[in-house]
Amino acid sequence: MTQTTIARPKRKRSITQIKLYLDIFLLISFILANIPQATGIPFHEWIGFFFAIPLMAHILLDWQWVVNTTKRLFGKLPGEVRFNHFWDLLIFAMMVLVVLTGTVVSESALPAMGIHITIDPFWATMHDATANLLMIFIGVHLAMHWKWIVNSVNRYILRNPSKSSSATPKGDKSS
Amino acid sequence: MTLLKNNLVPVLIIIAAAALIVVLALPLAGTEWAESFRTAGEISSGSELLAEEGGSAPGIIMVIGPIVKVAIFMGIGILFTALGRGLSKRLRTSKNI
Repeated sequence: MTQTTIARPKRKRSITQIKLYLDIFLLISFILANIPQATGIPFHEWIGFFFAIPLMAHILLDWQWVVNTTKRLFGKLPGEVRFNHFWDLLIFAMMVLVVLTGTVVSESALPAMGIHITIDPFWATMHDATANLLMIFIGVHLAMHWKWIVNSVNRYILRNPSKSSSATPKGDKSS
Repeated sequence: MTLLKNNLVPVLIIIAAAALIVVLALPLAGTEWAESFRTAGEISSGSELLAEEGGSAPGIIMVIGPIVKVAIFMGIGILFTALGRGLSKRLRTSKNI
């Protein structure tokens, strides 16, 4: 008796699906990083450091969009795309500032690595201010890509393709 | 290996951009503006700040409070974008008429 095994076709995840899962992970990490009162300072600092990895992946997955838009920035480009490009740059700069100011006021992660620093009230205030501002910026970023978020969630999480339109919204980087 | 090779240039560009922001931001600590924070505030550590914010709040508020704060801040961004988008749409349609 011969036994035949039918190889199941491997379901390939689309790039949009990967982006969606990564973005959900990124959003949850962002929220967790912003509630140190609930999670505690050590968790807040470590998640802040490791946040760079999914953030880098988030940018890399849309790298082609970044390159193409930058090339066309001084040419003809829809206003929404231009705004998204500018806003994403601003978010990136703000993210770097939050991590920088968080690093120089670290009282758990850096000491755990043997680095002891005196906390400067200026950086502590800056960390608080930039983090609060970043939350508003992320809110705008989410709203700008709202159609893509709703479509992708309907398609890949709720598995309701009828509710998701196949068209990519104008100004959205996701394909 | 191919993944790293393909993404090496973008990763280096991102790191260089981040380094540039850090280099530009660090000298801020030496300004008079920064000095005013040092003389005005006596904030010494994050945990002290958190203790001040939380005070003797019950556990549930210590958890829900910060989440509400994040929701409000992000909600402000979403609200302003929705308003801006609605306004620009209205302007565009009125222009077309």
